[in-house]
Amino acid sequence: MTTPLLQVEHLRVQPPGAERPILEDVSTVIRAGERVALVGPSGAGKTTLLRALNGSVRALSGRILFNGIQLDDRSSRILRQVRRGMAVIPQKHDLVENLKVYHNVMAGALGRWSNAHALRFLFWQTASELDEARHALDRVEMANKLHDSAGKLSGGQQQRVAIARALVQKPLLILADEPVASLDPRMARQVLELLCKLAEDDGVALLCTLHQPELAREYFPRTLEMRDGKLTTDSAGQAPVAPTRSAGEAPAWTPGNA
Amino acid sequence: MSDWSNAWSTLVSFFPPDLSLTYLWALRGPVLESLGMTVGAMVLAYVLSLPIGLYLGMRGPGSRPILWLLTSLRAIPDLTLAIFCVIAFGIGPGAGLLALAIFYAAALGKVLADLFQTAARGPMAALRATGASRAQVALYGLLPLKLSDVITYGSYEFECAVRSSVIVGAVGGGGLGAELVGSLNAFDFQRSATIVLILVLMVALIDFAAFHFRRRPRWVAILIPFGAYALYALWPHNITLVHAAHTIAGMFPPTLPAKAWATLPTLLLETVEMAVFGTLLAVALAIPLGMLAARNLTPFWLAIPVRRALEVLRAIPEVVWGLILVAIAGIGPVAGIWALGLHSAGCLGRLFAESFENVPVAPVNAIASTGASRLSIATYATFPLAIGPLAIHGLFRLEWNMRQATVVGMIGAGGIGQALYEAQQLFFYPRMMAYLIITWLVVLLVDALSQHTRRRLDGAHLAIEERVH
Ligand SMILES: Nc1ncnc2c1ncn2[C@@H]1O[C@H](COP(=O)(O)OP(=O)(O)O)[C@@H](O)[C@H]1O
Ligand SMILES: [Mg+2]
Repeated sequence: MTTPLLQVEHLRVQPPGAERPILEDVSTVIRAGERVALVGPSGAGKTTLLRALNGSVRALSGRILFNGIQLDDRSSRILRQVRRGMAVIPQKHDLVENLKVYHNVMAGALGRWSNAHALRFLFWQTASELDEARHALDRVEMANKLHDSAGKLSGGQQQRVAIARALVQKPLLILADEPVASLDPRMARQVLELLCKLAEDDGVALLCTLHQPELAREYFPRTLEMRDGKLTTDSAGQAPVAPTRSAGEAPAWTPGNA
Repeated sequence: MSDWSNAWSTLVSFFPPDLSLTYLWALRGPVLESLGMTVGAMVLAYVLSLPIGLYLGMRGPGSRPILWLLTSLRAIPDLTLAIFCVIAFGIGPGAGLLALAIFYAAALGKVLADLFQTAARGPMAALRATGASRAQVALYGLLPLKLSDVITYGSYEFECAVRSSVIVGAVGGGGLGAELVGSLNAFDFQRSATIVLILVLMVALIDFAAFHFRRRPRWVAILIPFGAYALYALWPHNITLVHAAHTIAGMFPPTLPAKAWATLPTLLLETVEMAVFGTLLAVALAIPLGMLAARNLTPFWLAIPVRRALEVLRAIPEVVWGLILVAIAGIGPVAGIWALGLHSAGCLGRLFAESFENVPVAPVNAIASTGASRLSIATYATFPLAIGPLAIHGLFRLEWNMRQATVVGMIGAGGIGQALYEAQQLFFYPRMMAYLIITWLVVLLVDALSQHTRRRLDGAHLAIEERVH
C-alpha cells in the first residue's frame, strides 16, 4: 500500500510552437493501490497530464518513473512496457466501432500477446479467450453484449466496455479521464462506485480526473488539484514538489518487473 | 467538308454491332483473358499494397522514401508500363498482367496509405495505450476503422483495372484490347462496336459486384482463388530475366537527336492543349448532362436514361475512345481532345449531378416560393450554389487529363505520347526511353503542383507533437 508506483518529477509539456507550457513543473508520487482524484477547471491540463504519463505526449523536460522503469518515449520497447502496466479509460471511450465487443475487450491483452496471436484472435477466438472477455464484461454488467458490434452500443455501454478493456490489461494503475463528465448525478455515482470497487478488488491504483470536487472528496481518499498546468494542492498534505535528486542516484524503491 | 462526310460514313459503319453467335463465341477467349488479367493483377496488387499501406499508415520508419517511390511509380501511366512490359517480357496477356499489377499495386499502396493516415485518432491512441505493438495497432485499429473505405476505394480501383486491362491489351498485352485493335486495323468496325459493348457490360458487371462486396466484405475472399488461378495461367512462363534485363539495358542511355529536342516544346504544348481543350469540352458537355441527370432538377424518366448514358461514356476509357476516334477522324489532336472529352464528360456528368443534388435546400426553397419556374430555380439557385464543387471537380479532371493526354497521344492523337509511340514502333529504344522519362517528369510535376495547391487550400495546423510509437 505504501510502495511508490508512479513518480513524476518536474514534468513540463509544451507543444513546439506554443508560447506557454501546458504542464509546468508537475511533481507527485502515487503509491501502489492508491486512489487519487485529479480535479481542476476545464483546460487546466488534466488530460494532458494523463497523456504524458503513458508517453502519448512528449515531455519537454522532467521525468516519469513507473514501477521502477524510467519512461523514455524514444525507446518503443520501454514505452510499450510502461503502457502495458497503465490502463487508460479515455473520455470518449475510443472503441474500435467496427469490431465486436470481445475484440475491444481483449484489445487490453494486446500488450502481452504476440502479433501472430493478435492476428489469429481477430478471426478465430478460443473458448477460454471468450471466457476471459466474458468475465471482464461480467464485472461491468455487460456480459450479454459479448458478441455485439461495438458501434451499436450506447455511450454508457461503450464506457463499460472501455472499463472492461482496462481490466483485461491487468494493470498496476488505471488512468480514467473524466469518466463521469457527461453523466447525470445518479449515473455518475454509479460509475465512480464501480470504478473504485474494481480498483480496490484488484488492488490497482486509480488516477481519475474529475471536475466536481465534492465527488472527488466522497470517493477518493486523496485529491490533487490542478490549475493552469500546475499542481496547486495535494490533500495528502505532502509537498506537491518532489525532492530534487541527481540523475545518477538510485530510485528510493525496489524496481518491480513489468 | 469531305472530311466530315468521311468521318460520318465511318461512324455509321460501326452500326449495327456484330452480335452473331459465332463472333460472340469467338470472343470468349479474349474476354476471359481480360477478366483473368484484371483479377490476377488486382489480387497481386492487394497482397502487395495492403501491408505497405498499413505500414505507411502507421508512419513506420522509412515511410517517406517508400511513399516517394510509390508516387513516382504511379506517375508512369498504365499504357506506358504495358509497352515496357511487352518489350521486356514479350507480347501476350502475361505482359499485360504484370503491367496492371505494378500500376495498381503502386496506386493502391498510395491510396491506402492516405486512407489509413486519416484513421480516427482516439481509438488508435487507446490501442497504443495498452502497450500494443505497431502491427497490433494496425490490425485492431487501422484495418477495422478503415475497412469500408478500403473496400470502396478497392472496388473503384478494380473498376479502373477492368478498363485498363483493355488498354494494356491494345499495345500487345492480349485480351479484348488486342482484339479491338485487330478489328479496327481490319476496318471491321461492326466487330469493334461489339467489343466496346462487351467492355461496357464488363464494367457494369464489376460495378454490380463491387456494390455487393461493399455490403458483404467477406465475399471479397472468393476472388482469391480466381486471382491465383489467373496468375498461374497467365503469368509469362518464358519470363527470362536475362533477356528482359538485356532489352532494358538496350534502352540506356536515353538519347534524343538534336532535331527531336527542337520539336519537344511543340510536342509538350500540343499535349497540354489536348488536356485543356479536352477538359473544357468535358465541362461543356457535363453541365447540361449533369443537370439532366440530377434527380432534383429533372423528372426521373429523363434522369435515369441520362445517367445510363453517362455510365457508358465513363465505362469506355480515353484510350479506347481514342482508338475509335482515330479510326473515325484520323490521326491528330482532334481525336485526342474528343477522347479525353467524352470519357471525362461521363465522369464529370455524374459528379456534377451529385453536386446539384447536394446543394442546400433552404435557398432553393426560397427561390421556389416566389413561384419561379423549374428553369429559373436551376439558374438562380441550384447552379450558383453548386459552382464551387463544380470548379473543384473540373480542376481535378484537368490534372487527370494532363496525365491522360500523354497516354492518348500514344495511340495516334499527337503530342509527346505519339512521339513516344513512334519511337517504340521503329525500335528506337533509347529515344523511347527519353520520351518516357520526359512524360514521367511532366506527370510528376503536374501531380506536385496540384498537391501543393491543395495543401495551401487545406491550411496548416499546429498540434502537439504526438508520439506515434
Ligand atoms: N494537441 C494540443 N495542442 C496544443 N494545445 C493543446 C493540445 N491539447 C490540449 N492543448 C491545450 O492544453 C491545455 C490543457 O488542455 P487539457 O489537458 O485538455 O485540459 P483539461 O483536460 O484539464 O480540460 C488547453 O489550454 C488546451 O488548449
Ligand atoms: Mg480533459
